[in-house]
Amino acid sequence: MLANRPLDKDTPEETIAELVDAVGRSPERRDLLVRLLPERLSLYEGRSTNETTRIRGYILAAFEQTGLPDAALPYVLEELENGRDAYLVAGAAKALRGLDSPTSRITHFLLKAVENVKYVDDALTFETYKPRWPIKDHTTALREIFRTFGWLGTRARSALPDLEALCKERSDEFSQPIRAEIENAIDRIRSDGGTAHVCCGAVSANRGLEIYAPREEQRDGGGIADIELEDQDRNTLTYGGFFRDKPSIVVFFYTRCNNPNKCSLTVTKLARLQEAVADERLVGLLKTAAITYDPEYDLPARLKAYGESRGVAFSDDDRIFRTRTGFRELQEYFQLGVNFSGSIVSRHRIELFVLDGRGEIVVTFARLQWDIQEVLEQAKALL
Amino acid sequence: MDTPEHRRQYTERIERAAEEQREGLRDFSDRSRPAEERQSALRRAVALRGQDEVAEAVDVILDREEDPTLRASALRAIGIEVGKSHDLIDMVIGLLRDGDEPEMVRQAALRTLQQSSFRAATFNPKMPEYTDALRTVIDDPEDSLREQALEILAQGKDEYAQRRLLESLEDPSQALVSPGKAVQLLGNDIHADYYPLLRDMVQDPPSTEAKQEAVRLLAADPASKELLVDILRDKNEYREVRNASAAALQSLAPAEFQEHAKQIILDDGEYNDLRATAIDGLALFADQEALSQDTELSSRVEQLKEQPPSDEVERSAARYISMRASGETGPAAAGTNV
Repeated sequence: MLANRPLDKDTPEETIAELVDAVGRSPERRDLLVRLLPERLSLYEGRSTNETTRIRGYILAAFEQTGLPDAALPYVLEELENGRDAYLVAGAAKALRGLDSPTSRITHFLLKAVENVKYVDDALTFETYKPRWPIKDHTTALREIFRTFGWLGTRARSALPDLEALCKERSDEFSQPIRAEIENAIDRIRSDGGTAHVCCGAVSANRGLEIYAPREEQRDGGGIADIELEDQDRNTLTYGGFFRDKPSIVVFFYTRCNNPNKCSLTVTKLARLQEAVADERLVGLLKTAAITYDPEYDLPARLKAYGESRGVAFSDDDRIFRTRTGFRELQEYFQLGVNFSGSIVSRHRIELFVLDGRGEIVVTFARLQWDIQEVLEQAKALL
Repeated sequence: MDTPEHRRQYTERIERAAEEQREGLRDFSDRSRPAEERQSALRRAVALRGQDEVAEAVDVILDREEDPTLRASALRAIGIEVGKSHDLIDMVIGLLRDGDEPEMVRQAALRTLQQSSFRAATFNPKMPEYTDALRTVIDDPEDSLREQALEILAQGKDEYAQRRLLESLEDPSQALVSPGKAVQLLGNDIHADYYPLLRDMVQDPPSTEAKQEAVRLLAADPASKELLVDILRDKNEYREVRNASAAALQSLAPAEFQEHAKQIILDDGEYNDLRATAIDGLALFADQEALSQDTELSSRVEQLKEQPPSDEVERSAARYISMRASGETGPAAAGTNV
């Protein structure tokens, strides 16, 4: 019944939590939860970062109970690879325990998550939505991650050297209960007599990084050609005026992002990508750009300082932009994985686009960290 | 003084200090003595660092029959050691949590934990337990403990603390701290979703202090640009609030600030502190090219320097002229995120 109601920005978060609980009791409806995960849904419009985090973390954790569909895997791996919020990372670690066919490939993401949350771990619970303190028997993100290692059993065998190092050389980085959790995981991995499968299951087919060609309606960039952009040096030009004649690589970011694995790293990698362009003698043949999600706040001086401090080189073909008009249209054209609370970005994914010489999307890299060489190859294919 | 003599005196001083330390510890451990004497002895002992000394202090700290002042002092005396040991951190977290413990002991526990938290290598693994305890303490009947716990959590951008602060602003019956303090604490995180509340608060403020704090924080909210302009232009508004609004607008929308700052400088009916703020803002942050072409503004600033209505306006005008003359300029726009 609940599931049939349209969920949107006005739906109280408690109602969404009730739906999640209801699906937990009827796992065959788990695809409903997957449909709630894209950041750009109106469901997240106007919701704060905290509210968005609560909703998404609660949904992710529910997949442990309902089973984790393939379509939800990119969202789970994204949190493990890049998440810095203990609640979301814990939810993602729990979600993996809903995999029908667990494989060793996810251990890489779990190990990354350990490093991501080690200094930001937190006391949390999924027993109730929006818990009030004091709570009994809290869990933590690290605890959930190591439980998932244990759950994987022999499939996590490749991670044993890392887990043993955590337990021995790096034991002082963890509290006693977490060390016990690591030891327990090691015991379970060692004692599991099963065979580790590395070549089958959902993860091998779905590595989490979304690379895809645009939908037909996204192909025509003409509709956004007149959008006015302002670069880091306060030069104004149109989208159609910049993104033309040469293929372009464009990333999205905002300077107030507080996740170092997202915007800050994206712009740093853009700088490295520019170096790779130079190394391959492609300067003058490709354009690079970064566009802010936060055009009202990210004024040219902020864009310039942010880019410079991350090594971005500026030229006529390499710029950082804010939109002066038409951000909504741009958001729609690129199907940006972002949402806002008022003017503040509340949630976004990592996203990079390769555009052709007409400014039209050819390939999208989304969610997981993109590989510089892989992106460059896609752009070179357009030359 | 020759070196051996110097060394001898130095050695004597060290031995004397060590003896005082031993005496202090002995007197502190002597439970037949009055609490005041043991307290004084503990002060002589300064910090307790040896294994036996720490064990003795822990016995006193955990003994509810002991004087609370002495227990709190003993806790402070082993503060450095707490930051090195998970077991001691657990013990101190237990004291903080325990509502039956005297406030003085819990205050000392909170201070010790907060100091220990800077020893990141040891303390980080205990952070979830510490955070869990702090979240419990924000409902404590003791105002000071509650406020300190909220402050620590808010600085860490804690979701639960932000949620409770927002609730307390929406419903004063659930207030954990004053509205001004709640706004200030929420201001640690631009993602805390308090801008709609701040805008409401500016329209209907519980106090001038809260309004000023709210205006200051709106500097990060592009949707509040018009509101800040309205406040800056409103001559019936408190000067402190208008000043906060000028600073906020300068950061948020330098071009709009420039326009309104000029009007304030030209207006002889304006408050002098506000005119000084406007002159400083333009000198440091405005578009220097546009300023150089604005002869009306330049001559008025010259005039304000020659015939200053106040010392602060004179100082600001002199700084403006000197910076313009030397070609020295601030950044073209407000603060930058790096």
